[in-house]
Amino acid sequence: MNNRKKYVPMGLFSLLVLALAMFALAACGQGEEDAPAPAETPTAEDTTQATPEPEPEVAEPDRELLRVELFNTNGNYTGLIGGWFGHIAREQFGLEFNMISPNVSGEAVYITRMAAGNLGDLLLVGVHTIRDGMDADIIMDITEFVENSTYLSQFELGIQNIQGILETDRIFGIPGFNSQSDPRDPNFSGENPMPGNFLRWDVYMEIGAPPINNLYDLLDVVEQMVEAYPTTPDGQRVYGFSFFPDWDGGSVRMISEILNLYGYHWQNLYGAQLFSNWDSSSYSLMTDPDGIYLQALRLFNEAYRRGLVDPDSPTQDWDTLAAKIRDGRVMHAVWPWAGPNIFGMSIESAETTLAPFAFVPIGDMQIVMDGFSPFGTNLCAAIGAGAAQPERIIEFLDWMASPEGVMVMMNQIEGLTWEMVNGRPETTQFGMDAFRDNLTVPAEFGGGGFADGISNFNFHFVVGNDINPMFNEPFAASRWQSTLGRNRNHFVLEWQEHFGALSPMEYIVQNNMISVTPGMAFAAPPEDSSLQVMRSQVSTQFVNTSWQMLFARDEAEFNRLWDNMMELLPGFGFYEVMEWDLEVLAGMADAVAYTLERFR
Amino acid sequence: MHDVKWIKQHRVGDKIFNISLYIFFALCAFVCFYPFYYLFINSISANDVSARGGVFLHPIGVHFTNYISMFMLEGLGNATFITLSRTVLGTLATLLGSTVLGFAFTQQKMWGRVFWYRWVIATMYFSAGLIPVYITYLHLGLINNFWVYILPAVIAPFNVILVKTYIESTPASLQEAAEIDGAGFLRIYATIILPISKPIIATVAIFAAVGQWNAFTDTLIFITDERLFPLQFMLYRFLTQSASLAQLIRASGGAPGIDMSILQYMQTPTSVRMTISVIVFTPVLFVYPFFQRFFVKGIMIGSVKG
Repeated sequence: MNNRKKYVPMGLFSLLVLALAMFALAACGQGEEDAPAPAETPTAEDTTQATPEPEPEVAEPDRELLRVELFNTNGNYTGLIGGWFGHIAREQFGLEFNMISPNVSGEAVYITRMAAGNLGDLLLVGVHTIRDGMDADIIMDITEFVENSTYLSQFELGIQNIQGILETDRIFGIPGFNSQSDPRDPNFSGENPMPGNFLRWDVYMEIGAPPINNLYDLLDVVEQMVEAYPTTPDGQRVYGFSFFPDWDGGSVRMISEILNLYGYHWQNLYGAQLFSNWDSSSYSLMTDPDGIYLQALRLFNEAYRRGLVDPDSPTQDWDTLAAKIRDGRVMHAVWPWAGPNIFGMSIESAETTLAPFAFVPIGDMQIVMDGFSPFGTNLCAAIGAGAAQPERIIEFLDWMASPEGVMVMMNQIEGLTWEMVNGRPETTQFGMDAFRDNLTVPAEFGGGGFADGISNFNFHFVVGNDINPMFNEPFAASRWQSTLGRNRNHFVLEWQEHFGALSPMEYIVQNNMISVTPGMAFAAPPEDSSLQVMRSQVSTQFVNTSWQMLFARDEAEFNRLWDNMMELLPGFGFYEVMEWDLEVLAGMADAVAYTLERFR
Repeated sequence: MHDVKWIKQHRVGDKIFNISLYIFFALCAFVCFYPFYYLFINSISANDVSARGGVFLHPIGVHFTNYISMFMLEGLGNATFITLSRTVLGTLATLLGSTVLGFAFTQQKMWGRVFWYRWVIATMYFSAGLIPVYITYLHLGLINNFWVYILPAVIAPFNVILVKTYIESTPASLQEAAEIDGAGFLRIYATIILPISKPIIATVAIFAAVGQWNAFTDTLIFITDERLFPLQFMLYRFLTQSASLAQLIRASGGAPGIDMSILQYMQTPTSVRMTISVIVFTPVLFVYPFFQRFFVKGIMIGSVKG
């Protein structure tokens, strides 16, 4: 009796657990139907914003809407691509893109999806990811599709390069950003070099625009500028130079950027402690006591001791610095987009801007810039092995590579953001304001906010500076004749008169102040984890000490910090990292030589 | 006379002591309150001022465009619905799971009690890792499924421990009395244990509700269907997009329409972060006082007599 009584409650408990389990299982089973349920009760928001008009009909009635999972390592968006771009994809191709981006969702989303054997249907990923995916059998062989395509098949050089890296004669990925231009020409956008030497134009003119022959002159000129304009109208102190640490790799980024003006590249070997020259045939170690990096550190330490460097530099982030530049609290910038640049500024903005920045050449500068790459980049478009109807995705990609498609991807909608005027393309007023103000797109183009509706692919098959055969002008609106000739503000007119050139790029080319690293077919081999650890240790040590040296109180402290670091670095694996970097550099030099030979 | 003087002195001392106490607690209150206030005034101040950290005491250049643009986010209604659903259902599921299991673990007669208890607790310390979890969910059909928000939350070992410990602290004679009166396991659970466990239920409910309200990492990994995005994920996505604005401008390199002077009217990651924080903490702020009344001690005094 007693025993029975004891077990009755336990029986009930078991029932309860069973009920819980059944609930869970039932939930799993129902999931497929249940999941969309919440969305099927559309809210006011949904009806007004997501679908502003009745569901548009697909171009061909036999084509049902195909949802494509787009895995994009270059994107900054996750979710359904709607708006005007979604409208185009739906209307013309019957496709709907659902984008997944590790930049938003984190690296875990890549690892888990890779492990589960399905990255997505359309992949915009690096070539090493494709190699991993091939090993896991989750990348589709698209050789036949590409060979039968109209435009994709034209990127022969790029495709061959990717095939070489993947060690296969089949096609698994099509590289992006393939250029048809001469690889020895600089691939720049707009009218400014990047990086460059940018100064507060109004103040520079106010002190009589003294010529700057070298970096030492730059310090003097900036000092004069700060003396002439020591505080902003609201009383904030003005500094000559202001830096920030967010984007440091193997060195203090802002210092490296300035050395980019002196014939040295750091970008090719990101995270390395060396600079290479334009063709990678020679290099300068950052640890070299006679090297350019130490010289630059010394120069900016002197600037600090002269009170020209913002003491917030080691701790502020990019947002803070950008705000300071906009408010006129800094005299110098290294990027054209870092402050309100006079080129590209509207006449109205020029009247109200607090801090107009302009390129000012340094006499002995020799800017290294990248050339066009006929081999494309290592970022590729690929198709997942499990994709349904891959031919439809390829059809879309082929359109993306066509002149019409490129125009949509880069300049959006003809008749809305740009139009043909006398046989030449011209950005409309709507096009100029659309992104900034997130203007409402007319319903016939898909409705919604303009900025909300951009493709978010961040991927093109060609580069913006390539010539569009449709009207014999570059694809990028910033290079159109109509844009370059657009109403110039008074700063630009003043600049043109002072330097006798139409734009900074023209000045640089005329005065032979540029060397170009030709676009090359090269992918650095992936590093193993022990090398990555060593590199990270060396970089951390190097960057931290560099910052301390920038803010050293005197010469003795500066030298002591340097000597101390030089003793420590070998212990962190400096020589192992260096050996690897030099090997990579040698590979790069071969690739440059190959390009030069081929495009002689 | 002496007495009066003593009292007077005492009063002065008291006053000083009281004033010090007031000041001390006012400071404490200020320390607690200021972060919320700071977030709020930054979210309504001019975006470029807040970006350079210039707002401390009062808002500068008050505007509400940050909130307006948050509320203009596409699909916000649906996301709110998802968040409310997961918060309500998820919290109920967690409560059911932890109270039933927590109560069962207090029962000496439960078969293999110690083993099962340790088995549950072990999962707090050992986990297979993300990839096995993902693959398991994939095979269970939980990927891109609303129930991925709810089911994994049913058994939370920490909450089970909380409930078990609490029930153990209540007088066992309550249950014995009920058993003598003929109550079974479920009746004891429903009519005795649940009512006396209100404080711990309130605690677990807060943990679960706040956790569900704030969660978005599960969405990152397990959900790609836009219709299942919760509110927090929409806000997170908005934040990452505004953070990539600098990249975008760099990529455009001075294209027309991207004139840097526009940035002062644009949202900066700082202003977006502040605004999102305010939106996120406000509902939570209201949840705590609501549950406060359940945190009452001594609820069982006098419930067992003799």
